[in-house]
Amino acid sequence: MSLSPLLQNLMQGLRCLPGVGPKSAQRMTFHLLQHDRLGAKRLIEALTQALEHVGYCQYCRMLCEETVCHICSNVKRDKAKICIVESPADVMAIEASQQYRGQYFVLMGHLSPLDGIGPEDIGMELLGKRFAQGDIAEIILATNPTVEGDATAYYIADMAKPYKIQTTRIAHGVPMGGELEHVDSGTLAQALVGRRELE
Amino acid sequence: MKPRVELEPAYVLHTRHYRETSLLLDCFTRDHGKISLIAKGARRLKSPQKGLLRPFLPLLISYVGRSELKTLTSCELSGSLLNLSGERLACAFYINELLSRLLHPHMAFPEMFLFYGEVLSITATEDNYTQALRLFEKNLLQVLGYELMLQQDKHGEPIQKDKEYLFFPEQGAIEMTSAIIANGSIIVSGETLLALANDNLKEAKHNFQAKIILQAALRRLLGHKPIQSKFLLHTPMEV
Ligand SMILES: [Zn+2]
Repeated sequence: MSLSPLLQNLMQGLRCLPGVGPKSAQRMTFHLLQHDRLGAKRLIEALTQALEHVGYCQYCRMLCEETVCHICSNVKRDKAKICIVESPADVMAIEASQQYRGQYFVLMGHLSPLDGIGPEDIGMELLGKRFAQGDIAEIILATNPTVEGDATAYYIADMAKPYKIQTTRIAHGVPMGGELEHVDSGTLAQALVGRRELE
Repeated sequence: MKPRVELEPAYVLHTRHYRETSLLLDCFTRDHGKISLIAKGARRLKSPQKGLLRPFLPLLISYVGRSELKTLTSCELSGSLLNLSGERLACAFYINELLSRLLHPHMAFPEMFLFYGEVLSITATEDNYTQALRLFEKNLLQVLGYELMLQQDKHGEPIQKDKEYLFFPEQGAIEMTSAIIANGSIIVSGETLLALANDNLKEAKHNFQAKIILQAALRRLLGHKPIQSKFLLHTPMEV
């Protein structure tokens, strides 16, 4: 039996969400209409508001509804330090580690020549301007441990050079609490290449 | 039974995310040329393939499938990891971009596959790696059927070491005489043409002129879209 056009339409709409296949979309559709019509109304309102008002912080490109996000406007955070990440989810992950009190810059991607993603697509013009303003003393490159993440980190490090900004790249390798025999060979090989001297 | 390929030597050219946990891969394989694969669940935290399915690693891959898109069944490392960074990494991306854009799927070039591995390793380790890059460009043009005429000029006369030539990728070299207006054409020494013919670009001036010839020839095949890998460098490369 096929469902009515409006139900099908809703299911199709839900499938734009990550991890939602036909089965989950059908479950969500029935749930909203059968048990939680009020929840559905709230969802519509939240989506409408977010779509209308959420943009990018003009300093760090983090998603937010103000012109300057709450991290960039927080006077307790170290303005001389910027951690550069690929996505808003990475900001949340680093915040959760509670080891960092500086600011961020969110690239919203990485350089990828084969996908046609170049420097202007990841905010390099804005970052260049911030370097030129001269109040940044240190950057931490926290792009992903992929070849594209490495290339992006190098590009930014090169861009920072003339400004004498201290530049570091976060360490990558063997996960904590894991046993070596369970670590995949690619990750282990990377960890060996990037090994450090014991002090 | 689905067609099955076991332990095929391969390199990943490019990866894209697919759904929540999978990857789509373009691979350059020794015996099957360029192929597309799906690696199901490869982005899961505990996937054994997680750290392996990335460009510039020598792999042995096994896969099944009849359609254009094969399904990866296993993959293992078959050599040492290259330490590519900075300009060297950008050059490695450039090589992959050439292969991704110019190779037709399923056309195998086993010799070029071996040469590709060598060039990557030279790019990672040797000082004079741009020479290897030039020879790879030359080799690629050759296997694609666009071999450059380097030993003879357009009229079939042997190239002479101490003469200057105008070089046209389609036609070859024409001796420079005072009657020819060289506006916008590539001017190259006979010495460089012969050096490139002999795969010997140790001298910087030969390397530099060879780059101009080879990249002009490649541009014809690449069409209007410029090479994207050059945007990986904030400071353009000298060589
Ligand atoms: Zn901000």
